[in-house]
Amino acid sequence: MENRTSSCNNRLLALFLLWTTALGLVGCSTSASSKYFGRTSPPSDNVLRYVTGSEPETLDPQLPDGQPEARIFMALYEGLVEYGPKDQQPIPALAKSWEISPKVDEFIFHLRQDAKWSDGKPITANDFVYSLRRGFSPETTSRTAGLGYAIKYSEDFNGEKVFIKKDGRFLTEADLEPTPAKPSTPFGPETEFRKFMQSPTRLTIYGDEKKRTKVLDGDEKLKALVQGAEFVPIEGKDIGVEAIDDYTLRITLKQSAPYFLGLFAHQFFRLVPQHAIEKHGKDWTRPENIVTNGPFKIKEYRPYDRLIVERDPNYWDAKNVHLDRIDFYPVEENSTILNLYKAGSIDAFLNHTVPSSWINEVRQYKDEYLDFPEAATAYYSMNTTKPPFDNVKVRRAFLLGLDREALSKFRKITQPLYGKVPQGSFPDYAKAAAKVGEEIRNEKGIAADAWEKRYKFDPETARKLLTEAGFPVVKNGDQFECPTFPVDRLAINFNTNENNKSVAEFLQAQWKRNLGVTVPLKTMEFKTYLPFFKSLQYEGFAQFLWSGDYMDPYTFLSLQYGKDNEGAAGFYDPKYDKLLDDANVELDAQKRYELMARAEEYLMEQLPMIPLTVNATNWMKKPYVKGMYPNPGTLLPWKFVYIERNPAKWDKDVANIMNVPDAQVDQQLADLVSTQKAAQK
Amino acid sequence: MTDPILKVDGLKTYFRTEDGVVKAVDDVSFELKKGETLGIVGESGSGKSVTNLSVMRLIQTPPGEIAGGSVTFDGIDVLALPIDEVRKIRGKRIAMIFQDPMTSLNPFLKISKQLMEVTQLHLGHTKTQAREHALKMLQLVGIPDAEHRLDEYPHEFSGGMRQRVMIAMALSCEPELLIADEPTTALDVTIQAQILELIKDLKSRMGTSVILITHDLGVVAGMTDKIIVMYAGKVFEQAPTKELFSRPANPYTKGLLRSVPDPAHVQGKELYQIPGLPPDVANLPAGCPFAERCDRAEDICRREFPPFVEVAAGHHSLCHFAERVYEQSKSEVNS
Amino acid sequence: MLSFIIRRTLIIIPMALIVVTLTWGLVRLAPGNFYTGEKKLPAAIEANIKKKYGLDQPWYTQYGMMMSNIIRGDFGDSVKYQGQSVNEIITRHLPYSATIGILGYLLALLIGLSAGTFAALKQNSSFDYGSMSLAMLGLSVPNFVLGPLLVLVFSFWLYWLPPARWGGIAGLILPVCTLAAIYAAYIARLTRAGMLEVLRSDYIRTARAKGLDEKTVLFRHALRGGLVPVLSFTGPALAALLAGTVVVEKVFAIPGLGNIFIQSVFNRDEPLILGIVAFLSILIMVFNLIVDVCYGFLDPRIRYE
Repeated sequence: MENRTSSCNNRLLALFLLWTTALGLVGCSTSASSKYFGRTSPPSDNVLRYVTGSEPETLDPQLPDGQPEARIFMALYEGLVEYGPKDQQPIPALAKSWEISPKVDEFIFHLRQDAKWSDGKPITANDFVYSLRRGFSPETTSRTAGLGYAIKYSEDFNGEKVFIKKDGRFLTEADLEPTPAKPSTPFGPETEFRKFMQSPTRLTIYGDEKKRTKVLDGDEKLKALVQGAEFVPIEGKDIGVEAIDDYTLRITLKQSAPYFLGLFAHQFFRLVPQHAIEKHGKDWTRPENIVTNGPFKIKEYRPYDRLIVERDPNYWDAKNVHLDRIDFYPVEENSTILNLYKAGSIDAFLNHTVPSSWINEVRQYKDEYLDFPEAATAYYSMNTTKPPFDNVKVRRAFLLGLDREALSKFRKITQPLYGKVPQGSFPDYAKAAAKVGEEIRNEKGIAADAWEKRYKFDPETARKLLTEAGFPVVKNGDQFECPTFPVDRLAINFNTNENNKSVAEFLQAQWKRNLGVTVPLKTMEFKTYLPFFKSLQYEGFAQFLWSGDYMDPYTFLSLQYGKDNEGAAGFYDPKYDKLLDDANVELDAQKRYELMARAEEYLMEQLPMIPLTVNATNWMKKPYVKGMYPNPGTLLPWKFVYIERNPAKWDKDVANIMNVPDAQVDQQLADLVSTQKAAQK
Repeated sequence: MTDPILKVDGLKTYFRTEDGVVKAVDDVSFELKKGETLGIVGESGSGKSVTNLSVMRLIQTPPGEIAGGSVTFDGIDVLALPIDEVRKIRGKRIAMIFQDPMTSLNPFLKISKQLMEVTQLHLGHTKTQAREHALKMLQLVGIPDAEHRLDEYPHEFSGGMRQRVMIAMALSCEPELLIADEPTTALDVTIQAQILELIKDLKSRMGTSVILITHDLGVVAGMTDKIIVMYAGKVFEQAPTKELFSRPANPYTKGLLRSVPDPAHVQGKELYQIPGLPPDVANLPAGCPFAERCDRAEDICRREFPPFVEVAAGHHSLCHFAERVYEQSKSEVNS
Repeated sequence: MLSFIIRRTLIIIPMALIVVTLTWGLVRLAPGNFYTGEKKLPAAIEANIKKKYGLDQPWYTQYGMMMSNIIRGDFGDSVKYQGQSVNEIITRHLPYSATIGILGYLLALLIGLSAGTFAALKQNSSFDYGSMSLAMLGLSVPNFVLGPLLVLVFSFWLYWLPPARWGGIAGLILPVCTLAAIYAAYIARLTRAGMLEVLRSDYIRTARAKGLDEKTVLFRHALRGGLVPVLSFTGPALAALLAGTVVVEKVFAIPGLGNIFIQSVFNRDEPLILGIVAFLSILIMVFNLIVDVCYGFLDPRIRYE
């Protein structure tokens, strides 16, 4: 019996040793001994295998507002313009060329005459009229319709509002507030519809009686005006979209919006097939019913497993679509995505995906890892309606008491953000901001170097500000303390997520070290967090990420514009709003940027939020995948993508990818843009 | 004089436990002639069951092991046989019935199955033959409505019936030796008598030799030809039945006999019990294992292990004072 | 027995409805809803959505409408995945979970029953100690550690198997093994304990005394009793497996029901949550019933009226 026990022990010992050896091997197995990360050989077919993120909600481009769907829609649907592969600036798509009115409130698009749906039916301007009317229709419940509200009467139509008809004519805004009539400048053929569009803007009000009564009760003048009037529902035909002829489309905005052209590439503005929708209703997106018009059409769809699209021979530019097929895989777990990439089962994947624990390892693969700034920012909103954050000195103290360089290094996949707008994405804006910065500095008489570091890490000034605000910071040994600061009421709030947590902990440590204030952390699940944050129930800080809807600084600055804005800081300043309004009626692009830069500077003085970092793209692609660029939104026009089978031509050192010429891509881009260039002559 | 059907000689069965070596059966010898009924009597822990399990080599090894001695059945050295040969004997030539028929029968199988598998295995019966045979056996043991009851499960039988089923199962192949380990202990008194009668009856019909193990002297009195009394793993006395009851030669046996309640005794008088408790078989003292509890123990008893003395023909006793006790018993009978 | 089965079957539907009601209450109480994203929706759009899904009605009206549909088996469409009905989603993704779950459990049964039985037969041998230690390891190592470990060894060191995604036999091996590990461990220990107890019992001694060889003793006499603990374990275990083990499905990107279910909770997709919850509760009740019926067959002492 004794012998037996010791032999058992020996066996157990052997097992244990084997186990620890295995674990040790695991630790040592990672090393950049090979040039590429994992298996790197192009698929035998002309196929791209791409991970899109979570399972798409629907294949109807006008309904959802999430990121994973966006890339799929770019393969299946096309609109007037498309995102340029490198800079996301609009390039011709279904529109060969366009004209913009002098006041930047009207667009005329000249459409291609050879575009077809995937079932062969020709595409005309009427398809656009239908698509937009359908998109704004309240029954469609599109979640992205808000992006297009600049189109005249679209917001009213979407909101089920009505025109007010009294004494045989429609009441206008002038009836409520006399305003001088603005002369209409000619732009395109003068049709009946244009006359309607150019006539004074009509008054609108809720169609629903309860809501209407509520509004009327609050406005005596309006109530009187509306007495005895007839209410005419606003219909699709009233919105500012007009098919002048089969291949000419005119869009009228309710105010000038210079950024709007780029918006036409958004999925909301891509075409949806009238004939399929009218025939199948809500089932039109089923693989057996669906009709698309993009470079690819659906081959096979197995939800949560794969969406396979193949080149559409009916697509007008099919000969320039290089891939035969794209396999979209919905995978959510980031480590699983990396595993698939390493095993060579996929060729590229979406942005923000490499887990932070992998980044140091993956960074070494300079031919594959893409680390570019995005048009997306992380910041902490502060609830300015509740003390002590109603005091700008307090807010500024926390800004200056934070070393954003260090934060960014810690996060590994971000760069520090010093203003509201991520300047890396908008080079022209950056120039304007520098110019304006100089002007303001001189106006205020501030020295150049002080100006340079006015938002940078400055713990001493931070402590001074906090003390001035009524919360003295005292030194205790080699630490700081601020005993009067009401930390028990406050918190750093964020939604549960590993990255958010590490950021919050970092900031907490920073403020503790530099200000002597330890702000507690508070976390909750995303959908619980949103209402808590948006309805200003929080006290202290609330973390938020904001990515641009379109490529213009206005998408960032507009967060704090107007009452009840998205900024969720309780900030509303008519002065700020005016600065932005002035900018948006400015026709000269550069002057407009300068006005916006002034607005940004003002906002930073008021400081309702603490900008933290600009996201980095943080994704990878195999070096044989070409024509795919880390543009600021990771919105990839698929027809540029191709598989390069000659290893000598594979992508090298992708940090430089935007500057390295690719003859094929450059030529393809030039060809597409040529139609607009030709028209402008 | 034919050879005995079973000869156990110096059998030692030990168990290795955490507390040490338990000598459950320590140098036990006895003989059984063909057709005889042997009774083995003793308290719990005396080693009586283990002795018989050892005969059939049913001891769990580990922790037990047969450490010495020999078991000869019909001339065959059972302890030396390979195990598959032993299995050919089990159930066929030597059968055993156990104390608690509820736990000794498989609750998950019908009794038809449990009966049939014995004859299918040992007699090569087909299913039909086995079933017929099983039916006959049930009728033989006196199960009413045997035809229907054959397909029932053990829990559907009463205690006495179950024991009959066990007996039917054991005797299916007409074994030469039946070992009955406390067959009536778990049963009512009235049923006890029936079962014992049944065993007696079947024994006379088939000529089976029987070993009857019990702690109940009343049971062995009417059933056996000879008796061995075991204590602490050793045989303390062996004698023909009548002889043992009338002229016991061992203080332990006398004590046992005195413990049997006598209905003729005057009410109010205390029942006799042997003082003390059965010994810890893992830690036996040097001398006589019974010395502590013996009313006539002397120094020598505690020091020296007693001899196995033959006091009369076929009558042995393990005691330093065997003859004296014997003489005393004789005189008690005469008085 | 039949009336027992009927009674138990009849109670399944009312129980499921109660579970659905409780779940509905929880979903409604949880803050957040399916249509809010990071960007605030314009009021008009939010109003449109509410109108479309009847969210502007009082809660009892909504509850009533929902229940009347559910009783007829109509769980409606998912609110997140437009145009797809809940029934369609469940039927589409159930086979993935079921395949992995059933294969995993069969593998677990195979390994667990054999290992447990051998360990019981050769109690205190090196096999016994070795297999039970391995079982302890199987119990202690969580899925989300074992899965990636297997991926590391078989996908990256050996390049034998794909690291994730559904695809052919190769794609099944790793997730099935990950899933089987913990159940095999449980079953091995349960079987060993059950068998040990049975092997000690008197009727096994009787079987041996009848001269039956060890194999017959084991399979004909011991196994039925020894299986009882495993049977109790199987009922709920199989139901949980069929519903999909979320961790394995997430790690291996399997489009199974578990994955869908967790997503639906995060998405606050009420119809889908209710549909899956109803389905799962019915599944568990059916499995428990089957287990109880099997008890009746396994152990004749148990008789249902």
